[in-house]
Amino acid sequence: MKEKNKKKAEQSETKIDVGTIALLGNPNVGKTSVFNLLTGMKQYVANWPGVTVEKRVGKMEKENMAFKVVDLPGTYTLGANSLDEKITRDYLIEEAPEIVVVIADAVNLERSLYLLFQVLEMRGDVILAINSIDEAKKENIFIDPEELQQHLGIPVFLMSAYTGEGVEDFIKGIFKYNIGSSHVHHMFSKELENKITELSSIFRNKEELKDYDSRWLSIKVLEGDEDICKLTGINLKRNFSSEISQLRYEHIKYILKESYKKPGKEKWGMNMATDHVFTHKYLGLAIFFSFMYLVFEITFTFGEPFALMIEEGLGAFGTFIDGLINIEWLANVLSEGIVGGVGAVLVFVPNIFILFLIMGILEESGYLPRAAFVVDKAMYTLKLSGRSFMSLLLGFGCNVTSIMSTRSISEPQERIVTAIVSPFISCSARLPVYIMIAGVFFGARAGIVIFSIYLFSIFITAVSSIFINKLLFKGKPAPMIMELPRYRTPKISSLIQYTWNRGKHFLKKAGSIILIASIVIWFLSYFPVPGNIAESFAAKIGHFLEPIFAPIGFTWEMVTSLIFGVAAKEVIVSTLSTLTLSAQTGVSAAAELMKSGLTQFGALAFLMFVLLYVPCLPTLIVLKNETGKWRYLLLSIVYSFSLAYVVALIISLAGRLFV
Amino acid sequence: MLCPLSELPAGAKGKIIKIDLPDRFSERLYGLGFVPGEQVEVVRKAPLGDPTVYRIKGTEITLRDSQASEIYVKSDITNLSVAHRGEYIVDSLSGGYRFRENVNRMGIRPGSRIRVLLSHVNKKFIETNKGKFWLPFGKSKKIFVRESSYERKK
Repeated sequence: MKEKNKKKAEQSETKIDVGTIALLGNPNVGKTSVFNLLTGMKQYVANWPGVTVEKRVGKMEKENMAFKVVDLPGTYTLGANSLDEKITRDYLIEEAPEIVVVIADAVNLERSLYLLFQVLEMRGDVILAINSIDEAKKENIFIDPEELQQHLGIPVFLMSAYTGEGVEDFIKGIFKYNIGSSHVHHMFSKELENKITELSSIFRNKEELKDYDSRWLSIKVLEGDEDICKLTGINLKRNFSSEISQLRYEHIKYILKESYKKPGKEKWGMNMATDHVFTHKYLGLAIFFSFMYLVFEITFTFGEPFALMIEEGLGAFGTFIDGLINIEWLANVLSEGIVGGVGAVLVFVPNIFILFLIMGILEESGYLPRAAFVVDKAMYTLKLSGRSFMSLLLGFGCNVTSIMSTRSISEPQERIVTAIVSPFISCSARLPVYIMIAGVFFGARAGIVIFSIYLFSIFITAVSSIFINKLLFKGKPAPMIMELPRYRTPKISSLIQYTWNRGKHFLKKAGSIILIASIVIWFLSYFPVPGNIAESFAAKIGHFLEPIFAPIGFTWEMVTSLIFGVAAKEVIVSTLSTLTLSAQTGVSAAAELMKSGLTQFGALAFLMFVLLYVPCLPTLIVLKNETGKWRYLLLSIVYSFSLAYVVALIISLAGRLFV
Repeated sequence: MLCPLSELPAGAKGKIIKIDLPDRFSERLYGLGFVPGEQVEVVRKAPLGDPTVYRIKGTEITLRDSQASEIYVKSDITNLSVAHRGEYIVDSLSGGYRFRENVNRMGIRPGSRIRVLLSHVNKKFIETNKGKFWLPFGKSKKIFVRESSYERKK
């Protein structure tokens, strides 16, 4: 309560907006943790203009001042070769934030400074925050911030987002900073510096280039940067990029000579030992598959008791409402339509949160890039890379996030193929359907059945990516340039943030799409003859389409649920519950289906159909946005539907042969 | 001697001489620390043989053989398949038991001296203390050698 009052008091005061801070840094330097530290819970997610890469924006306040904080994508350079680099560079030029904070890694200062110097070539008002000094201390690395500050000419702070050390001084430093300084470092050879001066004088007089720093433009032209060459209209015959980067590193070495000391020999530490096991020739693959199996086993078994609790609670709540209201249709829409429909999906909240928690542990600990490394060769044969493997892996949570994460894949071709095949990765929204059906039909073997569905999902994704690549492109597979970050013990607070940010998405869907879908489904199944579901609109739609699915043996209830399932896959569960009247009889919809004669093979055919058929609406929308073309969307719909139909048909035919 | 980075065995070190990749890759590599003059170490190969982890400037970076083969390094250790004519000392063998048995019979084992007499793209003609042999590409690729003028710094 006290906190709430405090917040209200804060809001009532008017803060003076003092500008924007952009956070910049290499991937894996803990930029996101620093962002969380600065902004606390005052953050939101938006999109970068024109693209769907997540843009995280927050607010940082002190006394009566407020800074807007923008978290830029992690990059190694400010070239324009990948989308992340392009976004970062365009933002720095076009939005011209008041202050740029470069987050560096204390354990690996050299490479962080390479990025810093590229920023300094571009603009002034830069602050250097050296993160992870707790780890640096453990490795006996010596850093002299004053010496660094003198050489660089910008404020330097040592801090650790993990332990909180130095954070206060860093924040104070930002608020104290006086805007309006720039520091030019003449680090290049005489020959190059002369060329830079020469080019600069040309650029300085051009009206259309007055928004840019002329020295920066010159360096970029010498580096042969395509965009800048086009912008300035100057194309040099020789490309100096190798020389320029070498000189930057030489300058960095010179600066670090006095201010940064790292013990020479690297020890056989915990990090190397762990890597030796996790990326081992034989153990590596075994560990990878065991981890994947464990993820789903834990998700399924640990979530169950919580799911049961929610289920019972909601059941009681529904009966309570039913008894409370006298108007029959209103009581019905509330207890069966809304509580029944939304409730049937809410039951899976524990499973989904556990799944995201485990994914969070794998990601934050640094295992995911290792997994990508271990399986890259296999992805290579699919014309993809370990990088797209990471995107696909996210698809186990949600296909929408998976497709959105393909944005940082630098090869357009690989990006499109990954986006089109990623809906075949079984997302968490499909899990409720599996759990409901498999739980009843396969009893104790439900875990292994669900695991095999996931394996099958991986198999189909693999086959499809080869097929789609053959169909659309005949090019070479993408490169695999990736850093293996140090292992870290995940921090509880960041795990909670990770799980909550992603789980929230599922809860939001339950409150919007699924709520609306539940009411629509209730309406279609309640009218025109109140209460008689067999005569309802839904039944009519189901019956109308049943002949198409007759060869597979789906009943009209299943067909109807599949139609509604296109809105969101979880809706299949709530639709089945409504249509089979399971809310009234108190048994699950799957048990009702079993009573009506669905066999184990029929159930499996249905599960496979749910896995493969048309992606849900949000996924389709993102797919269109990301690939930019309607034909890719159409391809996805036609291909996935035919595939689902064929697979389900084969299973049910096999069932008829065996039984 | 100059050889592609992809030809170095795990554990070997080399100094980068030049990078022959298109701009969009090389820029990225510069940002990661792969610049001429820098020392790079081969850490380990992936379970399926490709990609490989390299250590540069204290961080570990994975590269596929198709990229690493365009990065040229100077190293005292190289793969026999890219060795020119001259005298070498066998450093290590990467094949299985049967492969090792097989080449041991030709007098090729860690520490032994060999001389490359003829160097073709797909095969080598070598002389050992057991005689002269033709070595096909597949076999020579599994043998790592260092120039005999270099002595191991240990």
